[in-house]
Amino acid sequence: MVRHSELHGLTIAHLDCDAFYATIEKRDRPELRDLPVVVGGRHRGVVAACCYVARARGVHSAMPMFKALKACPDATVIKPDMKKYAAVGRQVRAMMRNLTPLVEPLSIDEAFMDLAGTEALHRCSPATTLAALARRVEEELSITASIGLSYNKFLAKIASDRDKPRGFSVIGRAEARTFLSDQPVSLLWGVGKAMRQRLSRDGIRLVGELARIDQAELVARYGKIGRRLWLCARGEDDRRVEPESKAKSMSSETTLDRDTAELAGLRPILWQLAETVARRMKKAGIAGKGVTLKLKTADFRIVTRGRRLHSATRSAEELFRAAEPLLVREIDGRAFRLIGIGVHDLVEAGQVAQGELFGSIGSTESKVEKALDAVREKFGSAAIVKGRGLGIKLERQGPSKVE
Amino acid sequence: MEFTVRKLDMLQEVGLTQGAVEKKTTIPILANVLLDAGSGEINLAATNLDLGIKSSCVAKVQEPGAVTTPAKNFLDILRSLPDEEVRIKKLENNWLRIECASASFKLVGLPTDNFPTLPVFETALVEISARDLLGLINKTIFSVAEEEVRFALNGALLLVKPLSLTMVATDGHRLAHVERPGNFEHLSSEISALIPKKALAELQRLLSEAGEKDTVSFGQSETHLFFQMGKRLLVSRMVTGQFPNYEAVLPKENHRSVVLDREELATAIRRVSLLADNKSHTVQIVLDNNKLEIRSSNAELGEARDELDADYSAGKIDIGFNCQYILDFLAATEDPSISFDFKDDESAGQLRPAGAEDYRYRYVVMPMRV
Repeated sequence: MVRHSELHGLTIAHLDCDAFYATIEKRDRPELRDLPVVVGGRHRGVVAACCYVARARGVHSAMPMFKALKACPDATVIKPDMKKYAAVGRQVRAMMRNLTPLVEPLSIDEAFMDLAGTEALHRCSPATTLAALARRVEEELSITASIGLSYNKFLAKIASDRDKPRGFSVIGRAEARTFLSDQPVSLLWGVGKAMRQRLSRDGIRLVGELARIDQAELVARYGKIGRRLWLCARGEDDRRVEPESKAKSMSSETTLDRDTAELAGLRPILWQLAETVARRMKKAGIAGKGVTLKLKTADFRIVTRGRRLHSATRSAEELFRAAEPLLVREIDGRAFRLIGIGVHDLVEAGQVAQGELFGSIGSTESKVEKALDAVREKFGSAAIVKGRGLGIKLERQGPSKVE
Repeated sequence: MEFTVRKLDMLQEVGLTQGAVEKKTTIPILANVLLDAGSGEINLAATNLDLGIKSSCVAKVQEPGAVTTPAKNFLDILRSLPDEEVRIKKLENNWLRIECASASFKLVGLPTDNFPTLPVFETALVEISARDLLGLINKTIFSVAEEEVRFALNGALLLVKPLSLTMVATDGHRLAHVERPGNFEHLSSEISALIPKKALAELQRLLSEAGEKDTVSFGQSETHLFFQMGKRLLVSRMVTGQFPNYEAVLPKENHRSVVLDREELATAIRRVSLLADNKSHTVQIVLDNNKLEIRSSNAELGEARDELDADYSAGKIDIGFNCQYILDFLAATEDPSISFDFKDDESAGQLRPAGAEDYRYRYVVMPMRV
């Protein structure tokens, strides 16, 4: 346990499992314990996760697999088993929810929690509760997690990353600004590559340099994000921990086995991705109006193209029909390494919705789709497929995202 | 090329071609208007490849020839000139000199070689009264969809049968259907054409000054629709795809009707809609015992209600609509009173002019589902 003067007064935590996929694989194959393990697509694709042994050899996640194998030729490459990881992720989340209802998942293996007001219930401070949680995760699930504890989400997330693996790191109010001042701006929430470059052009590289500029100036220069930069640079973040935050979009994407420029190769994959997203939307009881196609070129340029539908849908057929023309327009000889489809502008089923005059437009298709779903429910997702999805097996379907 | 033309003559025709001028500048020549000086007249043309407009105006041609010049700038220049004779001359490298009174301009141009050739209007199939056609468009155009998926809804369906002239438009949520008696008995076969929304809007402009006796010659090729009004020709690519079976959704059992004053209803809906839900724009209509109540509620703002007297006793109706859809119809119909016909709380409502009209106008709106 760490010592910290504010330790028992902080309540916002971020829990992040350590090398999640790789740790689970090592747990299930103890003979790999001290060997480098990389999880990801076998021939191609990127590293989805790698253990700390592999990291020490220069492998990191999102690295192209061929590079990873160059850096670490003896690594054991394991094909991801998303089902297994999701199950473990749910177990971790259940343990968190045991402690507080305020759990906000960020992804399969990380989440925020707010433990304010739980002291009486657990008869100890949030810090002690969290230490017990980390221990429980390790003992019962045989994986490890790192925890960051602070007074807001932004700093809690930074803290959990400070002391990985098996870390427990605390950032208190007193030290926040000093700690932040000599950190690079990229540490701040919302500062990606483009923003970093923009700030750098303006001579701002460190958080401390940002903190010296006043709010009005930052807003004038960078627009809405200026206020957030200003707050973050001061160690402030007014976002609350929101359990079950409503999904704003749903998407599914996959890195292709090999770069593909031809429509014939991309179409069936797009169809399968549309089916995946549609299936998940049906499960979540939502439908969406905005459809986005995402492509990544062989030289890592991201292309997104979108369109709005007349009315919200969760039909794979309609999603595909909206996205396919967008794909067709991008076919110009460029080779793509990744393709994805996303739906945004979501509405929940049961919300007031405009009635349709021609329920019959596309209704045969939706009957077909309902029948397909029923068959899959009973016999598994591979039991029946549409012709346009045949002949392609997705090697590694990237994690579907809900944002 | 050199000619002299009256400013107003030229201005009017150049103005009418603007709708066919490409606004995006991906293909520069599409932003230009073609001027072709022949014997005693100037032929003008503009096209964005989907839509083309041709026209002509009288001029004193000193030297025949042709050029293309940026349509928007040319129009602005003409507008700015005094109402006098304008002298226009093509210079070297397709420059255009424009002189009027004491003003003179030198405007850039492009050679005509790359200007797309508009499809040729070969045979007129039918002559339609310009006023009638305009009436059909005004009563349906707002229901045409702007769809990226169901393309066939992006146009209004024009049907010419031996004894009737019909236009139908729908965006899948509401449908406008208007039919006039006609005399097209010479037709060898019925005409059916899907006219894109943009072409309808340009036709509205072209037809707006038509006199009572003026007619439009209509024709179609495999890919294009042609509308000739005197010296003006509008060519449009036709909308492809299968227009939905609209007849199947025209209500047959909406027997519970109420007749209302058009303006009163519109005013009340506009009033109540101020607090309608921002997303769905729903107003709820409750019809019972000689009262029509209009209600709205907005989770963030509050709620509103208003009511109208109504001669109605056919059982309670409680139904929600997108208020804009209702207002669109009330603005398009000319009759001072309208009939609102219902079947039940879930089925489509129908609006129509209540008075005797020389045409049949029906507007079908799907309610909001809760």
